[in-house]
Amino acid sequence: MEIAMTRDDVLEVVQRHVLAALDDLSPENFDPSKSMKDLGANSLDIVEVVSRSMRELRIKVPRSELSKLTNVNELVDLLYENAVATSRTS
Amino acid sequence: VNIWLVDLDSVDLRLDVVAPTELSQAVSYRRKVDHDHFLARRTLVRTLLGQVLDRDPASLCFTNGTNGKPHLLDAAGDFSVSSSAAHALVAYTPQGCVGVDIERRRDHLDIAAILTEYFGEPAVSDIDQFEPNDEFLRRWVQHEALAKATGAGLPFPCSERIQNPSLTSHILDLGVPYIGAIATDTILGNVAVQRW
Repeated sequence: MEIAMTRDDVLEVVQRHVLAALDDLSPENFDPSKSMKDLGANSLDIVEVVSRSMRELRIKVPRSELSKLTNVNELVDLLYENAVATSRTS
Repeated sequence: VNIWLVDLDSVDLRLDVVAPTELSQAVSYRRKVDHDHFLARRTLVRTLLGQVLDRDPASLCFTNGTNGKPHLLDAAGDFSVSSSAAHALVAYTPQGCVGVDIERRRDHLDIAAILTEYFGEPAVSDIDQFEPNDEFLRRWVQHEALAKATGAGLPFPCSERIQNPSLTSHILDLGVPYIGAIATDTILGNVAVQRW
């Protein structure tokens, strides 16, 4: 039986990829209420973090939905909703 | 078109020219280095545009277009700013539109994930054509410069000829470790980047 993914699992995935993309961002400075730009990411960093997170979570989120996000928590929520929806249909 | 490459760590912050809204925006950055670089960019943009427009830097007003592209509110011309790590690229044109982008070269870039997950599902040969990273970054900065020049998102990879026949993009020689590009509808002669 597959264990259901939680929102915290998704947050952990996103945090790991943000910290990998931003060499000098310490875990203590990772604040998901901030935007990725506020954490120091540029456009390529953001695209790489989202791409790696989607690949690890095995989900696809349309770019049109991603462009509306204003902070990391909203990204985590969106990825989590899609992960749950994907697991229901598979 | 004026193009400047600037080491943000060498910019003397001018809090007297930065607007109160920009000062409060700086506070949102989590790391001090990002806070300082943001204020350096605002100082830089106001100082450089003030020079070419012969205006007091503090008097310049900006507004954002529909997709967030900043515009001069009460002065002629178009400008664009991009930064990566500690360097910023700034361009100004008195007529037409301009966009710039700069990226620091990086050892580890997951090109396959970016192309497959974010931009769709290209054929393996499409991914191969972007190796090594430099080729991907060259295409990326040209894409970003074009997107900034138009003020609209563009599909990636894109052909500027297809997207907008009046726009052209050029790779800029910024020296290691940076790759940069400019896109504009203004005819460029010799593209010279000024170090500031």
